[in-house]
Amino acid sequence: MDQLINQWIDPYYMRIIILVGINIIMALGLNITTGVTGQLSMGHAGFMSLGAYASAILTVKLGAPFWLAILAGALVAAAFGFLIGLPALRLEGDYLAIVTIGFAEIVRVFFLNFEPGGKAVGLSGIPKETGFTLVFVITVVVILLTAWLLNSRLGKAFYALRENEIAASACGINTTSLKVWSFVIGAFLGGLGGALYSHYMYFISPQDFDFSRSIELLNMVVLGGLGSIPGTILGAGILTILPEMLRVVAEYRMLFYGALLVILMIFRPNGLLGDVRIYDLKKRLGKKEVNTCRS
Amino acid sequence: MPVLMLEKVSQEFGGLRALDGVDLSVEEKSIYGIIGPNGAGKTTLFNLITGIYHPSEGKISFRGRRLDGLTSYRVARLGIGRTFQNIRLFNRLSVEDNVKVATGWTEGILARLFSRSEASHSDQKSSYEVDDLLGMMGLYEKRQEYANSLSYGEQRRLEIARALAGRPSLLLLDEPAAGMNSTEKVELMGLIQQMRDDMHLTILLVEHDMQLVMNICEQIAVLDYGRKIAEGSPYEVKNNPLVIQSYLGVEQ
Repeated sequence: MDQLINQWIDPYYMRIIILVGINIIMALGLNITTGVTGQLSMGHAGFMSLGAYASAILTVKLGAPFWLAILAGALVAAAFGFLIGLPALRLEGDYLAIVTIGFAEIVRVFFLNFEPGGKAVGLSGIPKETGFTLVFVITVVVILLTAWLLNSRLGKAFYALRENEIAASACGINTTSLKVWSFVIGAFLGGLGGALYSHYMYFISPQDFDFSRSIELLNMVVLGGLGSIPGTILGAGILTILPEMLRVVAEYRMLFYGALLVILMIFRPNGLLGDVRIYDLKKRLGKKEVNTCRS
Repeated sequence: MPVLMLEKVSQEFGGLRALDGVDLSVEEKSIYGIIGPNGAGKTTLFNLITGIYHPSEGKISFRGRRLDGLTSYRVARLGIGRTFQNIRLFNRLSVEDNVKVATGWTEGILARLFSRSEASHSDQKSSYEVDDLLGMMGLYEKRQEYANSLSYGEQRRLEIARALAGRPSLLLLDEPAAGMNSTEKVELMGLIQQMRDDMHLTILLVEHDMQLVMNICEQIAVLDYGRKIAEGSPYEVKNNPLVIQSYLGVEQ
């Protein structure tokens, strides 16, 4: 299947498409933690890193099967998501952000000094198991699962927690356990994305998962619209493709990238799809219909 | 046996004694009012009952069960709903979701996750319940709107609908009439009595509007500087010299 597609699509575009898929998976995870539940996490690259290294060490050093490795990578990240979720119970906003940045830095420095991970040199020779079909299928499954979760009555409780914690609690919502769950789910998807990433890149090093990577993932969620699944998908797509399209302006690439972000946020302060609801669109269309009936 | 019992409940914030040995007993299916000047400790009392604060001293029990020490969500699951003095809605959720999110928390997390399918009995039931509640509060037409797009009076009614969604047997209303005009206040009085009669609720309310309190409460407690200075029927409280001196004032 993959070979067939590779014949038709230029490898350069293929690479971008696959990275879009991986970024969508990770950004949807961060969207649950930060966008929906409102727990500001600026260390999502830490979970990605854990997933990438855990899975790569399993396949390279221990010869584990690929499916087991990505599952293990995601679970390791989820376990750390649980640990990071615990301080989140006492902290919020900026303070929580600092803790998550600290966590991601600890993970990065740990892998800089971790012998089985190749220390600063990085880990190479990771089997290239991640292909278009797999990323496509997992991305679709993750989109459907998160949409299902957020539309369930449990999912609404995550939004309620973001909107007003005291009121949520007075409605019978166990805010403590939901906060931890939001970190566990976010970290799981971060680790899953990391595992797919390492098995696509052949090679990973701690620099791949630095602070700027965390910010990049946060940008996708904020740009798309906090809490919106279509928004997050759009944000991940744009912020993956945009730096590639800007290659034409060579060394000014990141300058344009930054400027575009600023402009987008000025015109859409709630993110591209942050305040768009199907109901509102329908209502707008419905009004037009009524008008035509009268005329 | 009273539904809600407070025995010698005190609450200190630093050196400030916000509540000082307050006793209260609220009878089943009664409408019980708490009045008093600003800063008397009325809202603190609500926060103690609903587990937002834990009392420094004293006992709170609900149908024989100790409440002090329980977290807020556990208190809610025992059947105590409340509204807030400063409205606390889930602003960027629809009116309908504001109510829906408060339903059925006794079922457990997994049940909620799988309760979306149309076949699910509990979801069907709860969705009827949500519609009924919205209808009762006159919000059914606006169920798809965002909560923060509602008018002030509507937001207060939505808070009541949300508090009822958890099927409480005791409802605490913190200044339900604040900011309402006189027509809305009259409607609210009818609504409170209707809730008590139709839904078999016990209602405890804090309110500054004396017309409302004197008209619908069967029992009133007066707080001043954290102490209960009087308790009794509206007639008794209205004519209590201590209450007149500290709160009601003398008519000129």
